[in-house]
Amino acid sequence: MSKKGDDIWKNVDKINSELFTLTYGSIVAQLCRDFNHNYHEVNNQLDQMGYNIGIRLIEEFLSRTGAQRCQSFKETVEVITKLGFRVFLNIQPAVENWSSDGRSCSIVLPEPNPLNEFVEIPPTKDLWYCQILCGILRGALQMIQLDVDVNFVKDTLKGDDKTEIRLKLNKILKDEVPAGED
Amino acid sequence: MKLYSIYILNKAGGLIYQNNLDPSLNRLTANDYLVLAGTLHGVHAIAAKLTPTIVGKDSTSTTSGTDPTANNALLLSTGKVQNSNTNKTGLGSIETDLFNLYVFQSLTGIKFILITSPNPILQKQHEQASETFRHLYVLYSDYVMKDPFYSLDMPIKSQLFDLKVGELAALV
Amino acid sequence: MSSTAGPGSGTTSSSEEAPDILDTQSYVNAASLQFLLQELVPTSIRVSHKLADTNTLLSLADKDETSTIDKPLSSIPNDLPGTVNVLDLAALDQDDVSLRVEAYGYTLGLKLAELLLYKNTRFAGTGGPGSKIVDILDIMKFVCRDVWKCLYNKQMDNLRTNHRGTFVLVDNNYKLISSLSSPKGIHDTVSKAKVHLWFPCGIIRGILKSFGVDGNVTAEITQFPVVTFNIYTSINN
Repeated sequence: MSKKGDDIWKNVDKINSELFTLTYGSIVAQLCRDFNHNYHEVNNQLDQMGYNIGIRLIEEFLSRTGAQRCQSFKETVEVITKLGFRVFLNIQPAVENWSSDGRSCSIVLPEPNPLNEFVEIPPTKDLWYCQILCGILRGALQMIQLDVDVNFVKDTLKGDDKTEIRLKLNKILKDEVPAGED
Repeated sequence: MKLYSIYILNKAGGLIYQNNLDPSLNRLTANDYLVLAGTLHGVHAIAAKLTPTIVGKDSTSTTSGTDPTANNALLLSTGKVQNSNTNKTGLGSIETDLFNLYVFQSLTGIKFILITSPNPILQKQHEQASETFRHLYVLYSDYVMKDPFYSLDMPIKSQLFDLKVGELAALV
Repeated sequence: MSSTAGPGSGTTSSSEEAPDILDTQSYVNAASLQFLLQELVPTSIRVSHKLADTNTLLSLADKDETSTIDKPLSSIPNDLPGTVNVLDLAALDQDDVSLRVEAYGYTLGLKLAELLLYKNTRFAGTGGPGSKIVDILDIMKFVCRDVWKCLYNKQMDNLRTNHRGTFVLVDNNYKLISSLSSPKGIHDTVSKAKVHLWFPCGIIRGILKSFGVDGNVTAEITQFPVVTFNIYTSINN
């Protein structure tokens, strides 16, 4: 088990990223077949899966990294992109396009990422292949009392120039913040 | 430092796990444990209101853990594990002649409470408790979160988790 | 590339070739896969439930909806994020739930064999297994050794055959279910674990199919956590 000061990535159990890519691809393909190519349903299922994963993943993240409460949304996004994505997917997305009030920004995923590497999707504008990530982010942030809107705006699988997620802070759930933090 | 028992409370203050690691301890009834947990949750919150305001945010003024921004900055720059105890103004520890009690709270509101043997050398025991909490949090994330039969905020009934907690206690 | 001057090395070193792009192996956190697999069975149940419910079938979503903490995930009672009530439903025994979980594994298995074989042959020269796969027994050995190692970091414990196309593979401590323990006791654990076993059955069936072999794979739990996979093929060996 890791001690304080240990390198986080060194202590992580690793698997081949292709195995992960293939497993995720298999699930999405089957969902498309099951729902007869109604891609909105597929997106919703992926989002639900992600949400369930996110509410548990946050404990894994906090226990392995020892991150503390962030003082601003900018800091939160920084921790998510520099640590969160690195620890779980071994990628580091870029952050850009901050709004003037500092409450929303875009996360640009690097190409390729472990979910959609070597994937081709059927010609449609409705499927967001990596929708599971939106669910994961929303679920994880809900558990630390942040209400956010997360959606995809661009996807390279659809022919866009980059894969971009828009993240917007709605509100901080002050009532649910645990006692004992100042 | 000898571990006497461990309590885990969910964010509503309900007891979800209790384990007497020292077999010589008297067992209370299940109801007593629930009442005890609820009381601790309440006292912890009240203490947060009673604590004098911490002047400024320098890391020297807090007892458990460091300033959050500095912690996160250190975490990002070095990539090394830090301490994630968010318990700043709530009840941190109780020291008596017969036992010591330590409280660790995560960002998600889960509280881990350790009851240990008393020890006059306080600082060392604080660090040991800190280490133990870190390992306990990792065990919680591994064997409870990754249990597909576990429902969030419900009592933990996993034998594997019991086993691992026992092993951790033996190591302390 | 030339090596820097050092004692006795004045010539170019041939071991410092440009890195082969096909040689790089990228990794992700094993926890990511574990969390994904944890969602397999609940998703299959929700999809089955949605497709079986004729009311919703006519009004499938025409826009994307987002999940929140208090929004039910499906019309199954008490199915809220974080709960496992979805597993309590009698629907867990339904055939199409199992078939879907098997299908997740099958699609994965079809591609997995190629991936692993490629990795194996690359390192054949450096002392890796690299043996040619000639007959059905070799395929089974490949499954027991390489596939299981890739998925669960251990090899299959026992392989038996009657040389008439039937194989029995035994894993004495099957990782996917060894940490399952239902609070209701061992019988409940075993009955819930059965559904999870369709996933590796699908993987094995997919791998066989990618070699051109049609097979029938089932799994049974003789004594928790020992799992036995029964494979029936039409090939005589």
